[in-house]
Amino acid sequence: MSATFVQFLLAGLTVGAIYALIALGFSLIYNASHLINFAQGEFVMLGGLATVFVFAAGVPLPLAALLAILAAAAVGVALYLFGVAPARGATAVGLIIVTIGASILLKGLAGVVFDRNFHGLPPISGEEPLRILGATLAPQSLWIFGVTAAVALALWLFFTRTLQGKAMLAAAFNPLAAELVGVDPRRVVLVSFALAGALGALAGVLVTPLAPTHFQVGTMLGLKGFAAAIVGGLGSGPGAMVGGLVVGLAESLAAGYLSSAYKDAIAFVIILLVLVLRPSGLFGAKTIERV
Amino acid sequence: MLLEVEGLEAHYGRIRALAGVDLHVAEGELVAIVGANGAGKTTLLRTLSGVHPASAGTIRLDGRDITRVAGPRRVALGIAQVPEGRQVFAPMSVEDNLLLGGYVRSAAERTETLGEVYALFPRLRERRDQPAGTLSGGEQQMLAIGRALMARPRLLLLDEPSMGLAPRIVEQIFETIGELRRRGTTILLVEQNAYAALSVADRGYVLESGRVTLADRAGALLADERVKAAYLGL
Repeated sequence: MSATFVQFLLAGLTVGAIYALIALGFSLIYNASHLINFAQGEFVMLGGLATVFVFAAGVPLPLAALLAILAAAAVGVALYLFGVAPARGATAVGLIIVTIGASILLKGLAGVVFDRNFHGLPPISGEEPLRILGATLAPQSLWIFGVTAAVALALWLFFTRTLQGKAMLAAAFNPLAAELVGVDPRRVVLVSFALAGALGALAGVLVTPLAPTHFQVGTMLGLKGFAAAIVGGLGSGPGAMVGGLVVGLAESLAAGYLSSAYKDAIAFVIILLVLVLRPSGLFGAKTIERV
Repeated sequence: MLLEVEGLEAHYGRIRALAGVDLHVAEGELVAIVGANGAGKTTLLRTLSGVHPASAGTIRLDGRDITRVAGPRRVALGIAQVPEGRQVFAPMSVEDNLLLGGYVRSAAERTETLGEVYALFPRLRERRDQPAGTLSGGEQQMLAIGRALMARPRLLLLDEPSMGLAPRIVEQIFETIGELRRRGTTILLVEQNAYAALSVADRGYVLESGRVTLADRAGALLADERVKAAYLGL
């Protein structure tokens, strides 16, 4: 394997893990409410920018990151309570427009509350790159892989081993039956928005040391995450992970071997291919039904 | 009186599905509500469970007015429903379906009740790891009943438990309902199969166009000429 190829591979996996975290947010909300939240990218922007500004104010980095993640979770809850919940009964397109509106609002607010410049963060474990098969890997990438894997494992345990997690799945499968056993469907959607906000912000915190953040960075990151969720199959956790890595790798290899001008186009080409060839995605819901 | 319903009304948009229903269920009773398709039977149960809003009237459980209590809270207060068409969580295992039935109870209560439900339905224990969607219709009905029992209800609402099942299975389901009654569970049963429902019930109500038109001992209703003509095909 050539060193360049390995280099592209590592870069693709790094950015793919970030897309996976964003895609998980899309899937969580889609599962709970069958809504595609186009403000998901803004959680990523908020996580990165809020950490930058709280850290600059003198708060230690881990605490600043935690505060930013909690703030994004709160924004997620607010988006549900003041945007999505009042529009109950609206069509799917109507709700999508609500989230697009929220996205524009959040971008605008971030441009005013923070500023319109690019900002970075120091990497968690320094800048000294690691050497792997002739390629280099920033230690931050290892953090990204580790945290993404830990989050995926935690979510998997939550949804397969705890009654709360199963109750959330049950509400997605059959909202009426879930309500009849005492699960409040509104609470399930609320928790999903909070989790999606936190996951998006976490992605923003992790990626900012590698790619400077900016009040408009959420648009493209959100769309890449959406592409990843579509590739994996909307609503599937494992699908979001695999979809994220697929989009990240495709983008990195295309940028490396074709032209970096195509980098952002790749995600959209992938969306189109998936929608035409396999609309349910790689891990799309297979329903078992017997009457 | 465990359940008292007075002047209950419910609407779907402008259409009035319940037009002032009065009924009551005493502790330990098995009460059947019979009526044709569209009489408002399912709406009545949905309104009692709080998943459809009441537009007028009151629902009292043990004397406490619960008309405005949200659906999920009513499960904790003791109202569990086996919905029409069973509505099991198809991709989830039989055991997870049952455990979710006990969502509002403590872990200790869940474990204890799970043992009781498995004792009542040994078939469910055999299939505990299977996805609920792969069970036969009769087994799914047992699962739906077991899931509701997991909530340790004071009042069990059953919506058309015989719907879409073979006659032999219907017989089994009604045997189970009789068994639950003997164990002291209070049951409100809604059925189109009026004969089977009134045969196991203590009392019955006939619902027509969202109103109670007849109320009597089940045996008396079975013998009533109007009921015979309209619902028993005699």
